[in-house]
Amino acid sequence: MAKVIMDSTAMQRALTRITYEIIEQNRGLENLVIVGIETRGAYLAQRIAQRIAQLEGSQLPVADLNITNYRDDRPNKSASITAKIDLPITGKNIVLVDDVLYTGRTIRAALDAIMDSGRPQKISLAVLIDRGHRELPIRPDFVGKNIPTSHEESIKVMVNEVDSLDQVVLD
Amino acid sequence: MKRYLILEDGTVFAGDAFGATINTTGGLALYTGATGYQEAITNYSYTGQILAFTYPQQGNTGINRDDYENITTALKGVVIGEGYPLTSHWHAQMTLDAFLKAQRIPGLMNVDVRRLHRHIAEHGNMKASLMDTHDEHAHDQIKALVIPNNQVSQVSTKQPYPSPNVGKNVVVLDLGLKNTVLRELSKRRCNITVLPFDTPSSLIETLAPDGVLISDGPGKPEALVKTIQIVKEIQGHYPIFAIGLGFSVVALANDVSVETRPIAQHQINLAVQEKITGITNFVAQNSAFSLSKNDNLKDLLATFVTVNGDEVVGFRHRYLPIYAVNFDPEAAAGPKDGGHFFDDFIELMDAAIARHRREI
Repeated sequence: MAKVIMDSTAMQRALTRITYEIIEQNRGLENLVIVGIETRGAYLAQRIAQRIAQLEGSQLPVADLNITNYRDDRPNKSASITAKIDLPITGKNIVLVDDVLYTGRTIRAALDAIMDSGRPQKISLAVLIDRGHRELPIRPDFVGKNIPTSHEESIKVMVNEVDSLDQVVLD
Repeated sequence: MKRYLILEDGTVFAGDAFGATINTTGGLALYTGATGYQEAITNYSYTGQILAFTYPQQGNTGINRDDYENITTALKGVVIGEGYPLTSHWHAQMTLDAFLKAQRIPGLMNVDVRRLHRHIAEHGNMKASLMDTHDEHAHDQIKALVIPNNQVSQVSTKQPYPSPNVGKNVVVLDLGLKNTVLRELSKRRCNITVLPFDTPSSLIETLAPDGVLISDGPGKPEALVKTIQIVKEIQGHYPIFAIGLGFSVVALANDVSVETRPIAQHQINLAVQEKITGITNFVAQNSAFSLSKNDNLKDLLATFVTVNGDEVVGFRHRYLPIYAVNFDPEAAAGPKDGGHFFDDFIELMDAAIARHRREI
């Protein structure tokens, strides 16, 4: 049975808190680039950048990352791997943003995609939901909410830009 | 019996005595909320002050067992417009008059509180007295009155005490704590230790709390030299949440100056806007100090501003887990919009605990 585990207000507050933590953990924001993993991570990345702009009055560079070609469950992946970041990222501090952290395989793909585009100084990871069950040695630096789940359950993050409402549903 | 409110500029307001039959002096504070007199009268933020309620009728619902913000009082007098000799509320244990008599607090009723409010709005904060006569001697006495600077040491707990629960370990530095602050932490299962305002930071270190809350309270923040020093020593080591007077103390500890408001604000309907989302909350406020206007906030990041004055009433430290608000998110009395500030404190502690685990 589907259950709403975060409503719009809770999502707003989680993103707000992540934003403050990003500011707290990065001395000086001039070197920061926010990278969102498509689809919903990209919108969350935009929102975090908007929040920082509200507080600091400066717009950070934001990039969307399409990791399809880097996925480890696709055949012939060596054929056409192209990196998707259009910003100079060498020497930058990247905050990678995704909606749900589960096995860690998406993040592995994103890390490879980023590394193919340059050599950042540091990459940290922000996720709205950490549902556990990692299959790779990856951990988030900023977490909206930890939700212990079983493999049989699914977590769906909905964002206003795509789904016409903000909420997180556990099914 | 006639009694007089005498202001330091010589203005006299005549009214009728109620409560205890004694004379008193103190700073005059104006409370503009329509409701919440029991919470206000038992709030230590008014230590040493004569509290006037500007809403014209007070006392109708008596005094009940649930709305005490402290079990004793620290204010010096109560001024109201129309009073009510009886109480007509199922919840009441006694009348306001009986309560003030028991607490030995003098009261004055049938005063034109609207005129009093306009007078203060025009001329600023004043000292005042409640007297049975308004002769020359009474006027001289109020002019000569020196308001002490040690209000916090009068009301802060003398001994540490626990408020046990089963969750996070939270230290509360008591600058004149309201019960509802403890209630809000208890609701969130915090295991609380309340400490005096001048507790050495070594004792806080021994307790190794998950977080420290610095409460609201009376008096001048600059006078709290020891508390400011404690904040300097512990900030960065523990997440800190500061309220009201605590807000000013944390600002001063970070070399951001504060200034006295021309008129102290005691209200239950302040509109504050979160800069990051634009969301507006209505909150209660007891504040005689604000951040100095035009002063550089340095390492502090403005998070909340007032809707009608653009005054910074909330900040976070840019690099350390500290946030502070210059209002009372616990309400009591007031709207319940501010509860999430206590959730934010819990999450600030959660984030620090998670970071600590990762670093081991």
